[in-house]
Amino acid sequence: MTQKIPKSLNDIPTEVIETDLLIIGGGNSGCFVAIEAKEKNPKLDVTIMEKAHIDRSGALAAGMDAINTYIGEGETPETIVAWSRAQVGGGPLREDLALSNARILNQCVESLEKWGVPFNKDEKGRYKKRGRFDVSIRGEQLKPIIAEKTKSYQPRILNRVAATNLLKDGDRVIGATGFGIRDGKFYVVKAKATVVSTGGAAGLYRSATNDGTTSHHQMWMNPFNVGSGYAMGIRAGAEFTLMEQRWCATRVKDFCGPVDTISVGYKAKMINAKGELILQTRYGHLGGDTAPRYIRANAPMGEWSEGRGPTFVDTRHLSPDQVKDLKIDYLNERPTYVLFLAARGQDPAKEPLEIYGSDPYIVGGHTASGYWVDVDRMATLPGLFAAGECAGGMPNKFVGGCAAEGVLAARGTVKYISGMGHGNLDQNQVAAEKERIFSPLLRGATMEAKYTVPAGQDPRSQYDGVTPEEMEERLQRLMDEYAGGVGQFFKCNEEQLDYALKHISLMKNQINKLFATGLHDLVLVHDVIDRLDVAEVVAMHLKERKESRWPGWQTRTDYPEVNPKLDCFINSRKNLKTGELEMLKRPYEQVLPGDRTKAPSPIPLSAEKA
Amino acid sequence: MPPYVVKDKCDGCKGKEEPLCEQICIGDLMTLNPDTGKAYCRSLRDCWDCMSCTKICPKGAIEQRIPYQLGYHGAKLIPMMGTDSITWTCVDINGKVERFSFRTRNKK
Amino acid sequence: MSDEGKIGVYLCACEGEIEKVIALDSLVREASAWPGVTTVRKDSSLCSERGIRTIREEVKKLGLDRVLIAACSASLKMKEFSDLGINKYLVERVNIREQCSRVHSDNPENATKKAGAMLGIFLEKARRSKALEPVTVPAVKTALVVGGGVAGINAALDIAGTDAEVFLVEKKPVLGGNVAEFHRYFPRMCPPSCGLELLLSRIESAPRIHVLTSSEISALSGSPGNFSVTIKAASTGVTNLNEQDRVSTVKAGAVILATGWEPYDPTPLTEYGYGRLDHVITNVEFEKRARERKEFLREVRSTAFIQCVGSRDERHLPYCSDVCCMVSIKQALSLKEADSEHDVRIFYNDIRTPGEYEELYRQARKSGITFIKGIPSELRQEAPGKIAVSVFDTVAGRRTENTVDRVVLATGMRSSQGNSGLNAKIGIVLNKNNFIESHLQCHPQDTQRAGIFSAGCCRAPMDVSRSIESAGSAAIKALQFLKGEITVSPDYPVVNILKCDHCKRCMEECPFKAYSLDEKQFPKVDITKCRACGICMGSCPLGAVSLGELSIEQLSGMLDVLDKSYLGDDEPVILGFLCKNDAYRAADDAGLKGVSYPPNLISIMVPCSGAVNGMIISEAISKGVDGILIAGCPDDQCHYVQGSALAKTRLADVSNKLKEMYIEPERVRFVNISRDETEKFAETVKEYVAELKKLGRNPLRIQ
Repeated sequence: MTQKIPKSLNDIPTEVIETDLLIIGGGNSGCFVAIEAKEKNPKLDVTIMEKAHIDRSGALAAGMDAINTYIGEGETPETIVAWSRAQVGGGPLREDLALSNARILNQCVESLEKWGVPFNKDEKGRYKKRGRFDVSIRGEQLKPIIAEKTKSYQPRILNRVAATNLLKDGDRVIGATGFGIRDGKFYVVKAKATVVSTGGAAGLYRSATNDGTTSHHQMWMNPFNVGSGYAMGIRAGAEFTLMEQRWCATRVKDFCGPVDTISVGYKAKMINAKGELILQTRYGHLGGDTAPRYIRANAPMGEWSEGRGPTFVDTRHLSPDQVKDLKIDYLNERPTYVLFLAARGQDPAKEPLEIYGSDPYIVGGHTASGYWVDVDRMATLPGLFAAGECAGGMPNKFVGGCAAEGVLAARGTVKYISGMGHGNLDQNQVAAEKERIFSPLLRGATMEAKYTVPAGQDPRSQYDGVTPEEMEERLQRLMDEYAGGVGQFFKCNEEQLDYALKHISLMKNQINKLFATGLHDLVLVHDVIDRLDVAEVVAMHLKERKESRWPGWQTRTDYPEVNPKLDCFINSRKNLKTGELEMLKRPYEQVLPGDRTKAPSPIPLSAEKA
Repeated sequence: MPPYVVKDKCDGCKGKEEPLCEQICIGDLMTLNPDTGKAYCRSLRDCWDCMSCTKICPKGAIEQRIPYQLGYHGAKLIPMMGTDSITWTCVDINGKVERFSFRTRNKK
Repeated sequence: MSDEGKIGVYLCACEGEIEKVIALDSLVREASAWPGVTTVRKDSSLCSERGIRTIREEVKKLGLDRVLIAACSASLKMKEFSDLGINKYLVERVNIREQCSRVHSDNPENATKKAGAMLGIFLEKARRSKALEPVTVPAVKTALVVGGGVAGINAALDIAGTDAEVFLVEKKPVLGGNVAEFHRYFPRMCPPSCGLELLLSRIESAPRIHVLTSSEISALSGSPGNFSVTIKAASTGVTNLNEQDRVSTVKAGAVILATGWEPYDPTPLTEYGYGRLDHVITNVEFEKRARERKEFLREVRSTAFIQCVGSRDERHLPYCSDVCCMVSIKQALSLKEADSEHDVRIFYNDIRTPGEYEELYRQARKSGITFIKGIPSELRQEAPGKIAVSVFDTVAGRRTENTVDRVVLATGMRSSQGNSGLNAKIGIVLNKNNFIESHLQCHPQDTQRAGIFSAGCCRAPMDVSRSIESAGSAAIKALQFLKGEITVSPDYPVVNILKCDHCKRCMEECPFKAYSLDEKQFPKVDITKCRACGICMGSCPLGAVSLGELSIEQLSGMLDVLDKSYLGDDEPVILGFLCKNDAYRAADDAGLKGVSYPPNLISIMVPCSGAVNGMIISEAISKGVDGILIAGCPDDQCHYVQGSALAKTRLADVSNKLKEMYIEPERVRFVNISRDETEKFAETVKEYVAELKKLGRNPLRIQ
């Protein structure tokens, strides 16, 4: 598609939209926000701002093979919250948020089936369990089905519009700005309430398989979710929590794809090069196979660093039918894993599947990083809500929980909007943002070619500036080496973190050297700008938590033990006057009684129910 | 995993402004080359291999290939879309063929 | 299976014919157990008065919401089965006679099994049917006739005989066209002024005809019944408009194009010296001069006519202009009438005087006109006023030299320049010779755009009589759109905007350009332009377009329900999609022609083979169907212009995909079947079954 590159800000048309509810990010939870908001009030003017195309955008792009949170027979909202709490080593977590989510979880999951997603059923016609709270689905069409349901309510969907910053009227968030990736327009959306549902942040750290050729985005998470939602909130002064609780997971090695499918679904145990059962042997005191999630992240890394690698999940006991089912599961979630096995000529029944740790991500759907929100999912800035992976404080949401988050956030916004008017738009703020967004593009359009270009090289090397890819790679390596990336077996110390922060600061000062030669490039520029903001907060949080409460997710070599005084939330908030990030602590409140590190067993089915 | 467009099969969605692969790509990577009238991936290393482009192409012109860092040459994974079901064919580097068919939508 | 419903299943024994082969009782037993079936009965003759009455009563008494009629082909007894007290789109016809009992009478057991499988899938189709009502759109009772020649004038008068208004637009300052300038027209040799005067006086006195001379169409938009036409008047000339109002807009329900023809200019044929030699004129110039002055016919004493000048010639006009032989004979006879001693020679390739015009040819020979079979190679000025014509007389077998006073070049007709400009303004399809192309042999007055018709020579070279006849037929067709409203059958396609991705393939592939974009940039069909061929349904890569009476969901449901082993585990099952105009009917004829084919094929009727969607074919293969057979009209006879050609392309794409998937590409096949190629159809099926048996059963099954 031929694009006209503008030469000045005046060449860039502005589109102003007034809406009641703005949803930034049309992924799983964003769509559920739209659906529930329209259900609650069909007259509500709802706008979805989506960077890609709603039909496939977000983490569900290739599909999903399981819903990891469903409260089956014998379980209750309380048992799932207790289990979730134990998975994060007892927390801290926001039990109020978790309980409100668990109470509506099942109906959200069941609506997916109503809309046409095939759920595997057992002989009694119940959802077939593959783990305690996991149910199997054939979710290749999961996102298109959710998107069609969303479209049926006719919200205003702005596909290919990247959100860049929140608009504020004092403390209140009154909408957001963005730019059109196809039409090159400047979008100003005024909204009575704004929901941020942009998913997590990937690509802060270098992926283990990132090499010089074609596997730059070889990571578990959707690499196009860069944390813009977090970044916009950080810049607006919203409060964030547990940004040090990175999601580092065990993944199939090199491919960096999900492994729970295999380990949970097919009971394949983690083994090392010598065939020892890792979790039993080394982590028995922490629960062995039922050890908290972060232990499973650390387990293979521990083996490798001590010279007992490679590490595997042992699939050699699987029958041919089970191998086929396993592949069908992958075809529904990350289909090219099947291609990966084929490209190595590997049969899981003959050779176990290799595993390794992944690069760290910030993803509030798995851990509890994200916006500090109240039970209505409103953030610390009035008018701003967070849904799905953007909402912090509650780990183990996964797909079902994020859908429920969307529903809860929608209810929160509808409550807030009633009787509310629009905020006052500050034209200076708008003009400044337009400049901030488009200056890299204008720079690219007006730069003079200074250097010769060797044949076959990127033509951008003629220009004296910084390409977004260069800065992104620098950030990723920096974080990997100094902020506990997979290359460092997730470990970091105070000096490394200070080093990381210093270099992040150096890069932030050079944002004005970034240039874009087209709208796609401009997306990459803003991706890296947003990642820098998020990475900075992550490093500050890692610095602040001087303990190793969840080794793997957060390992401080200089504070290797758990510090009971830090049994609390570590939060941060940018002071808009000084520009400094303020760190603060908030207390943990236990709502569900009992041992926080133990998950009570499911309630046994009585004879009549069975 | 990078998508490669087979030039003899691609018809650029008959030269509309945006071919279907460009419409759907989650990373804004697929686009039409106005000179050749055919689609291509802007940046092979940035693909996340969701295969949305491969599935949506009406001419079956897109081949998903795996980076050499991960796997060796000649393996294939091909989706065939039905309205409520999908059939995948997988061929490994030794020529072994596997096929998987399953339903992807329940009808009302 | 979908929502259950209350379905009545009726099996016709067809006075014993069907029941002799198919065990209806066992089918009754089987169908009674199916979900949603309220009643199943067999009857000796469903189409009888008694049979229809019984169904009607049961519909009412049992509150049936769908009816399945398993009997003869749906093209028969349509009137009878449309009156059952239920919306006709909720009645499903299952063809267990023409496509089952009649062609599988050699194996009643298999015929019964096939009938059972057919009932199963058409029941599923019926479950998903919706009640549809025709849509009535208000329309304007005004016709627009473009071109005021003999065809246009007659069309206008024919329409004005009813209560419709007519706007007659002519770009010249006067009506009459080419004929008005002629001397005589055959066969009666009347002067055109006679007939034309009569017609023009009728036009003047007709209160509902508005004549706009010195005017041209500058734009046309809208739909049949409601076209919006912009007419631009020239700055000079007599018009009915105010001098200031040069541009006006007229609403028209139907348009008749009668833009006529132009003579072909023979200057490029330098061997004939037109424009270089004296006294070499064209046939049109002859007419004009003969009309202008009486003396013209006596001015010289010898005239040579050269036929086919620039006609039937790949380098000029590749076609025959139909009238030139008659024109030359007419002109030769005029010369002879003026002076019986006038030496007239006609040099020809073939003399084409069809029908009773043969009489004029005989008359010409009798009057002493010489006919020489040979076309002169060149003309030379021998002396002032004398032209040497050298020709090889192919009958005599030798070259002759002829010297004559004047040479008349019989040049052909080309479509008037207006045609090429029209194409852009109106979107009319022209054939390769720039005449308006109907594409349907039996509807010569059509233009591939609903509501727009052609009359006279803008469609093809023709004489005055035929022009007038074609004007009449165009007028009759136009009247369908001038009743004040247009009723559209609800078969037209609907786009599912929840799935549509704006790729616009449907818009592009529609042969009738019936689609445009709505405010939200989704394709929307103009139901008055649509012909419900379903090519759009076939084109959509996302399966987002469905016809009113055949939807993607129905087809997908039928694929689920089809028993892929209805003849047993070893017999392949073929699903056929047969086009309703040719292939399905050819298949229906099999029984009566004594032709049979194996029972492995179950056919679904589609409006056009182009309506078959590639995703449905892929899905059929995924769900275990062994072979897909698509049968459409021969490519150039497709009733919808390009359906068969598109179907072949779609199948080729699926076939390529199958090859890559290591599935035999032979599992999908296309065959062109013309209406009478029943034997070819049966042979194809036999061959296909044998091929599929060799390939083995389709290994795919949905898990």
